[in-house]
Amino acid sequence: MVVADAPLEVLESGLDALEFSRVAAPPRWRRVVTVALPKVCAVVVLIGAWQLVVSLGMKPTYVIPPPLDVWHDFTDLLGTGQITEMIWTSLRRGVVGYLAAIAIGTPLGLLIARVRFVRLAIGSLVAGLQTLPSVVWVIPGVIWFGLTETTIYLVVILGAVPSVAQGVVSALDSQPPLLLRVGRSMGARGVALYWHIILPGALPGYLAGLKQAWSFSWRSLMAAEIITQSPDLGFGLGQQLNNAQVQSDMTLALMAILLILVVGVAVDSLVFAPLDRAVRRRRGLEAA
Amino acid sequence: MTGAVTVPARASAPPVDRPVPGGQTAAFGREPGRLDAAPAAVALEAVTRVYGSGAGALLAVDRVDLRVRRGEFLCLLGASGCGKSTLLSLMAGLDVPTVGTVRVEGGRPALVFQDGGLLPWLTVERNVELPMRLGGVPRHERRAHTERLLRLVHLNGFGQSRPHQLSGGMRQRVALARALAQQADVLLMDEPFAALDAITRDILHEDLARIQAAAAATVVFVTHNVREAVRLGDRLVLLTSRPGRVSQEWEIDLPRPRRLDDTAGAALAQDITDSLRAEISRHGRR
Repeated sequence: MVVADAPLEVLESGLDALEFSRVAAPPRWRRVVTVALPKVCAVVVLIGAWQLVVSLGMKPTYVIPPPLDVWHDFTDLLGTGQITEMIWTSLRRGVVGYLAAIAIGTPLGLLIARVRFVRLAIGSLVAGLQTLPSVVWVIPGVIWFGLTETTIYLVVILGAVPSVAQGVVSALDSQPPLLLRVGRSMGARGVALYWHIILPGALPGYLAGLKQAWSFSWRSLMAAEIITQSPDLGFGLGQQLNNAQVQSDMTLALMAILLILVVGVAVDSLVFAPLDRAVRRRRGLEAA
Repeated sequence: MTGAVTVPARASAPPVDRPVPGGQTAAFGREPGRLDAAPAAVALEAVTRVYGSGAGALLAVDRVDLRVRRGEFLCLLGASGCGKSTLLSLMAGLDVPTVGTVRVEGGRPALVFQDGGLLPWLTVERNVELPMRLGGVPRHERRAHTERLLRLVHLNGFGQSRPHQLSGGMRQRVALARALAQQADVLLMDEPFAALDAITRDILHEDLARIQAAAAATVVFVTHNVREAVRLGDRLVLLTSRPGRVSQEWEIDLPRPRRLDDTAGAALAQDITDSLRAEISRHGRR
């Protein structure tokens, strides 16, 4: 140990110990309970209110079916394996279309963000396309590709690409200039600058864009499935909903709507929420 | 009219591992006169930088001549608008002068920013390692050197922490370690301690003096804190504002180790503060 150095090191480590933030995370079960409990309460209250309306008999049950009937519809179809098939069909379409949208939207966003001419040419168009309801693409899709899965994918992709691209653009635009300076002062150029500084810096914004793009994909998929009906198309959640309309079966319709909601929310909270939380926590953007 | 700009490119060979001696902390004092003979590590000749053109053009730096001797700790001091940041950018090779030449010895200088500029998605260790990764230093060498550097700034044990967990002072020490990892001969520091509290700043002054002596680095330190400049510098250059020009210079041959409250230092600081105030008053109402 160096004599002149020792007191400074001790002093400094004392200050560090006082200032280092060591916030212990609460135990996992506790966090799950704090997060889940309010949600469970909300669901219970909603179902209770629903049951109350039914019990008051203000409307006949074919207009507002009781919750238990919907549940029985669900368990019956689950028993025949139809539920799994519907969910699987829709999820597969949603995920494949979504991945294709990422593959198209990401380079498109990079081009818009980095090439001035492209930004001026189509930047506002892509931003504007986000407001266009993607259900309009069903019509050209059917005319071009008929009642096929290609039509469904077209709607999903066109619905989600603008979100992905816009996410890339705003993530790159909001890059703090200091970090670019840091990278350049260390000699990072071109690809190295992108790999080490720009892309990791843009990750939280990109993830936000991807999360939004998923909800656009899912909505577009449902719009496409509800409208396109064909034996070749298989049986997704949207087709199930349309079926309920044809049969004037409100119980079935409610069950389909709830399933669509649950699957959409499940993907969001099982895939995106943990990813987002992990990224934000690492960077100290979120209190532990 | 354009000036030749010479910022020598870094050799593509990986930087040589340069172990930092740990046992020579008592030898802070420098023989007077030794530095005068030393060759320049940084040389600015008639450097002018104009931003924009026409009527809206801004003359940020005007005909600045500046030589920083090898191993010297030079403090650049000035009020707002003295072109300190412009001068640092020019020396760092992030900007080129409109007229004049900038020469820096030993390749790209390392830069330390006011708020550290650590990458929030990397651990402390990975932050320090980054310049070596960019320079193509092999992994095991990077690891070993990073560990040495973290020990040098007294942050061993914090390698796996994230920047947001650290205090401002600790972040600046990580930034210093990262700058040293660049293996540059010249270290540029842009008001690195301005945002820190007094206790932390005092400790970091001591730290920086110790590390500079150990690493035998040439330092250009920008500040507007006169006491800080007198505490740290071998020489102090006062700049005028709008445009930035070299106004006055002081050799600070006070014995080391120094303290912030040394009486000799306090007297000199008062003298310099008067000059700084006179310069600021020049821009006031008359």
